[in-house]
Amino acid sequence: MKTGKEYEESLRKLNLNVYLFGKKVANVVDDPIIRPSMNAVKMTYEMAAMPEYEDLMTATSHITGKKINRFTHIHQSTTDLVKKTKMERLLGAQTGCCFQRCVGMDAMNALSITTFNIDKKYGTEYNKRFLKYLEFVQAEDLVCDGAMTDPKGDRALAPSQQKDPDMFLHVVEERADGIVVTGAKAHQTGAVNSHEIIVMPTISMREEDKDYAISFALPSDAKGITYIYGRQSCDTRKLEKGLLDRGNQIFGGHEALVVFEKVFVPWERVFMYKEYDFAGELVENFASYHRQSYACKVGVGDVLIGATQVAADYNGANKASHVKDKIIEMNHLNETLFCGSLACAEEGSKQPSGTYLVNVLLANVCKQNVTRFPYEIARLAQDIAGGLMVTMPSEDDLNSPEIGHYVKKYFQGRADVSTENRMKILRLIENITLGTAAVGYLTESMHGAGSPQAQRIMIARQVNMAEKMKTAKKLCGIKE
Amino acid sequence: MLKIGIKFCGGCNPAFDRVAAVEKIKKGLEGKAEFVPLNDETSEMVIAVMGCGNACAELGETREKQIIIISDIDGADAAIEEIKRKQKV
Ligand SMILES: Cc1cc2nc3c(=O)[nH]c(=O)nc-3n(C[C@H](O)[C@H](O)[C@H](O)COP(=O)(O)OP(=O)(O)OC[C@H]3O[C@@H](n4cnc5c(N)ncnc54)[C@H](O)[C@@H]3O)c2cc1C
Ligand code: SF4
Repeated sequence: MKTGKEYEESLRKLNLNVYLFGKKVANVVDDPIIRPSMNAVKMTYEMAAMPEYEDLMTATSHITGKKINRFTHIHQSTTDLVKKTKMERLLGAQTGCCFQRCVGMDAMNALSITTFNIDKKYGTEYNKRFLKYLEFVQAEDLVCDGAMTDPKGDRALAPSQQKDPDMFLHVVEERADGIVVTGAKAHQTGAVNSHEIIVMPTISMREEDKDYAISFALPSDAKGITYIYGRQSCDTRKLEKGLLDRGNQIFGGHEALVVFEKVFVPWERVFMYKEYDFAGELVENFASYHRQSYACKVGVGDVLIGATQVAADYNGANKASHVKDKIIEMNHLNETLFCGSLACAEEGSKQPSGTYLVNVLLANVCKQNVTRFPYEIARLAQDIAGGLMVTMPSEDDLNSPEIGHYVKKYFQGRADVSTENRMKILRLIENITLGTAAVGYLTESMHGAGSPQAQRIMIARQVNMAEKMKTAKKLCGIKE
Repeated sequence: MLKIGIKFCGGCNPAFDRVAAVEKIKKGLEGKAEFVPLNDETSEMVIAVMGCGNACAELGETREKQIIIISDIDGADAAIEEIKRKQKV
């Protein structure tokens, strides 16, 4: 396994084509806007080497029997799935943000199932290729970007019906040694902190869309790939000298638009090629794993609840009964999210490939709650934090020789707590509920791993309605 | 001297400071036990530090050894006493 330092060094060797604020980034690793997100991914390496976390952070490879980072593991039991949930909560709580490495893990687990199933039907050799690739990822302890979401253009039209054919990533040329692809993947979490990009189709497809039914993996600096870094609310605070106004002083997440302009993929890295009838299965399995992965929001919730309690302690409102009750409600919602992720893991099952898949119905229920509860937790945090969270002056004002004493005097809460500490905790709440980390805690909770309606469709499809109706009829004596 | 390995749970949501508990145990057994890496085959005993009552850390690799499990902060004192008693030190 790589150390955190080795991970950082390995990123320096990549030759990524990254654009930020309209300019090409010369040094991605040290860029002040990007750096906090690298710090968060680095934690997945550092904690794997710490005895007090390794039971969750590491696993035993089913291919080589070697100890590996759990983010490169294929789940071999429901215990593995439960550990994945716990690892994600742990990391969310340690970083207070999106640590970006779960999308690739979920992509690999979904591919381990679907490549096997395609081979069984068509006699192809995708699973063999995939396992070889997986062994490489495990041995090198790599970060993989899980790239599913296409820009999608007109949502009412299928890939092959779009006016611009590049709205969904597709094959543009087939060669003896591989394929050439064009298109883009949007909202790519952790893309510029990744060594590899694993591309999957974004929706179920029909025969006419078969050029879009492709899956493959490429090094992140492959020729023809361009990254356009996503803005986040309050991002330029990271360019300021002081740390206080950032809220989270160390960590952050990121997303990027990843453009593929005639990119060559060798056959040994192609895991699906025009088997359109398996696109839906791959999407569903990836989405189910990723809906489980939102246990990370429970960890960020832990930070937000802790911060809210501190804010209440600092302004003296901590003993008010409604404040106590609101914090109980925040915990209730947060632990309910944990229940969903744990439940779908515990109820997981073995697939023909040997991989354990989460319970699809419960994973969708889990994510449906994730689209709602963090918003309510954030609302309660803002209620308890008070208005100062959004009207407070800057760190420079606090330290100003002319007016700093006013800031200290008038924003003092309890007399034994410094104004500076009160400002720090309020900035952290601001960061998670409407600053850079709100991207991960709120909007990603809404749309990441699929917008709310996608889960409702799955819930409708997965529940055993016939059985429910049968039982109801039996109990009230209906005989038809 | 008695050789002891430490096995931690992964610490997803621990109810106490597991690392501090181990420091306490190490201090309590200073001069009476040697703390060695978990994979040290010469150790006779393993202290398994579980962050909560779920006690989910895998103990398979420590099967052959005496295991003392602690899953709350009071467990640190109890472990010190138990080891002293067992070793008559
Ligand atoms: C922070 C963040 C991180 C993400 N990380 C990743 C990542 O790492 N990898 C990845 O592949 N993806 C990632 N995603 C993408 C995520 O999966 C998508 O945001 C999600 O699938 C929704 O797609 P969209 O954003 O294009 O929304 P849109 O498609 O624009 O949806 C907007 C609304 O329109 C509705 N809608 C859309 N199409 C239809 C339709 N045909 N019929 C009816 N209603 C429709 C939706 O339900 C929704 O309410 C991330 C997203 C976010 C916000
Ligand atoms: S023992 Fe408790 S705190 Fe430790 S990993 Fe298991 S569930 Fe989490």
